[in-house]
Amino acid sequence: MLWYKMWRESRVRFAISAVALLWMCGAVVLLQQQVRAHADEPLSYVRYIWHAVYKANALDLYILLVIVLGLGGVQQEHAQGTAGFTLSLPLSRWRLVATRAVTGWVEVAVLALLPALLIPLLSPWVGQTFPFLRALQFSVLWAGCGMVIFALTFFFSTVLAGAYSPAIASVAAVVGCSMSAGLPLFERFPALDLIDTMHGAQLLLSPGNASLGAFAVPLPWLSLGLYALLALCLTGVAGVITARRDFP
Amino acid sequence: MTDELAIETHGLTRHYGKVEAVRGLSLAVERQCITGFLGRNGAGKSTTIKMLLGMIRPTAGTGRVLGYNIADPAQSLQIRRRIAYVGEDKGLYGYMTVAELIRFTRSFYPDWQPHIEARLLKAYQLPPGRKVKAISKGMRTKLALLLALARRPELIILDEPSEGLDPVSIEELLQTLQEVRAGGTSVFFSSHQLSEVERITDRVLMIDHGQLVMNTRLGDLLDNYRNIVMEFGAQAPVPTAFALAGVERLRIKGRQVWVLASSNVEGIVAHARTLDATVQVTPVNLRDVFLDLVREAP
Repeated sequence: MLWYKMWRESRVRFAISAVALLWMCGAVVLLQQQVRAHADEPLSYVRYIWHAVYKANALDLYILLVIVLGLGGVQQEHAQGTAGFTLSLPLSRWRLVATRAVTGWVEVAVLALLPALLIPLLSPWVGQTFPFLRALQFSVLWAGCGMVIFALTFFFSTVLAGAYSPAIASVAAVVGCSMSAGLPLFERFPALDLIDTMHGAQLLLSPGNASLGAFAVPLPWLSLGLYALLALCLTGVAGVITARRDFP
Repeated sequence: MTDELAIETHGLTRHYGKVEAVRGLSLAVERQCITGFLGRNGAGKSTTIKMLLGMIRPTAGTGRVLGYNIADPAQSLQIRRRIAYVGEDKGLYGYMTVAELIRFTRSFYPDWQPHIEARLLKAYQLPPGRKVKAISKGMRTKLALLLALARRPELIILDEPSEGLDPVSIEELLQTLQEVRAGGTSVFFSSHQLSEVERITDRVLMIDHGQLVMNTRLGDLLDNYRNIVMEFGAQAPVPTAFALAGVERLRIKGRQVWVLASSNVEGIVAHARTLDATVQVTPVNLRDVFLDLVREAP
């Protein structure tokens, strides 16, 4: 039932996020003709989708929605006055943190999957096609990188009081991360560029056929592994802080 | 330390920066009793309770609840399996319905008693389908009590349970606590509502400025404690101290001296008469004792 609690706490945010993301992806597909007609240079449909969804608008929205999903935890419950009830249950604080984190990661992954479900399905309605497996590759990138953004917000929710400060800190951290990736020091390590990894520009060059190898090989597994590790570390630190903190 | 006691602390201390919320608190709460934990606002009651529940770590000292060490996370889990806590703010999940919250809480307690749940749901007239945030504070307290009692705890800890309740709800709460004690559950509740405490408690602990100032059975208090008022004549010198056994508090105003005595009343009266004072001895109630013990010196 602890899963149920975590789901109930975030389900409204998740539902709003899902609707917002689907709406934006749907609008991108349905308005493709008008937008592409006004483009500076001719754009293939696949490249147009990449530009509008995976590189720009929808991606920015996804990052913001993941930050919104990452808000919560015992510290936030303390501000709402329900921490006393939660902490009096026969549960370790580690279990609370782990359940909240896993619930969030599943939501982040499902959110990342939505464009992959909608865009290939909706494209034939406008006389276009977008390969499902390619969309799924982008979803893997979003889910992997979204996991670290979620963990970052979850971490800030643990250390910062107030309803909005963790969100503001997370936005600042993501922007800072994006800006610092352009510094000469980091240019040699493209795997560390979170936003660039989410863009997945290299996926457009892959053949995009239906084999497992063709699906998996172009994905930046090193970056995804690093981000997963970072997400686990941030969650672990949040767990240590929660376990040691006093809730007067 | 012994697990014969429901709660036992030795030198329990908690600092918040330079503020000492609880100072070297040593107390013992017997099993199967109703123990009232009294003190003014900010006396350290809630901090003590939260230390017992593992929500706050003590700065110093030790504590055991049902024989389990409060400072050990694994043992703290055992404490929370066996006890129930009703917090001051009754902060329950507002987004759940009454039925959902009951179902949620039930899942953590294998010994949950469905017949108690059903009985209290009916007795308290709780609306199962209504969101917790939409019910009144009195209803929330009743829901918190249902969640606490249906798990059949060995000890129930309540922090200011009657806060914000109307007189009818307070009456029902006090009756419930008496029934719970009759069923073998120990009850430890903090309050500054003296009339409630006086009605149902077996034992009274009083805390002031983070320190225990009284630990006695209520019956003993009413039987043994006395107010002794001494009036000194114009010629007689007014003493500034009474270093006698049984003197708990002393207040002097002009030529009048008030003594709160816990024992040795005859000895104190006899001593006062040797000083040419006219003496009046009156019985006390909990309110008199509380005010005498926790009132700031003028």
